[in-house]
Amino acid sequence: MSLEVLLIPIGLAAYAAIREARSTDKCENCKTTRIMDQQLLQEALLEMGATHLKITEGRITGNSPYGKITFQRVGQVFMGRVDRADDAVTMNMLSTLDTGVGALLQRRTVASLRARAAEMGMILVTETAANGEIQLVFEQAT
Amino acid sequence: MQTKKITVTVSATGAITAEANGPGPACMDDLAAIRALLPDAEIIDSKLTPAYFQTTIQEGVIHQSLEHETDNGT
Repeated sequence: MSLEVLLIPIGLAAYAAIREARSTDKCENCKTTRIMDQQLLQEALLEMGATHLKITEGRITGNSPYGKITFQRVGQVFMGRVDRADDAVTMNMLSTLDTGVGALLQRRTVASLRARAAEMGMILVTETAANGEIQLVFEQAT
Repeated sequence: MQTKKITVTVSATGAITAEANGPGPACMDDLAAIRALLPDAEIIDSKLTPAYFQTTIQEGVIHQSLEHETDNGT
């Protein structure tokens, strides 16, 4: 028996939700992210070096190494921009943010996997890291 | 005693691929095990891999072979 499953961490949007997000008057010139969870966005912004974050439901503003930033929930996902900056600056900031989100989720998922596997009586046989990926192999007697 | 193996790959983007390999056509058990291992993730796609079909075909051949032997009284 062999089954392959693709998953995404809760807090990230599937492709359809990202595609549906559009810039609105709530967040002019904003570009879409794949982030649905505000707490995840906040943590990733702090990891990116953002400071003085002002947080209200569905909206985060603050300072960053790229300039002042604004994030607004539009539909299921957050959109963001560097205020009064070219699109290229915004895209650069969002690219760095996205890399940070990936790293944050990768660390969390691996830590959670180790803990859950131990609770389930599974044995971690190998753990390898290559090309940015981390692979864990578990075994369980059936 | 047989062993079930689950391989989980976590990419730099945070996406997760989990593959279960074990004895028998126990899809639902494998899916349940993966869900239990990854409670903070949602499944967006799943498929049976070529290894599954290989196992099924091999089992079918063995089954047919046994029937043939029984028919022949061997």
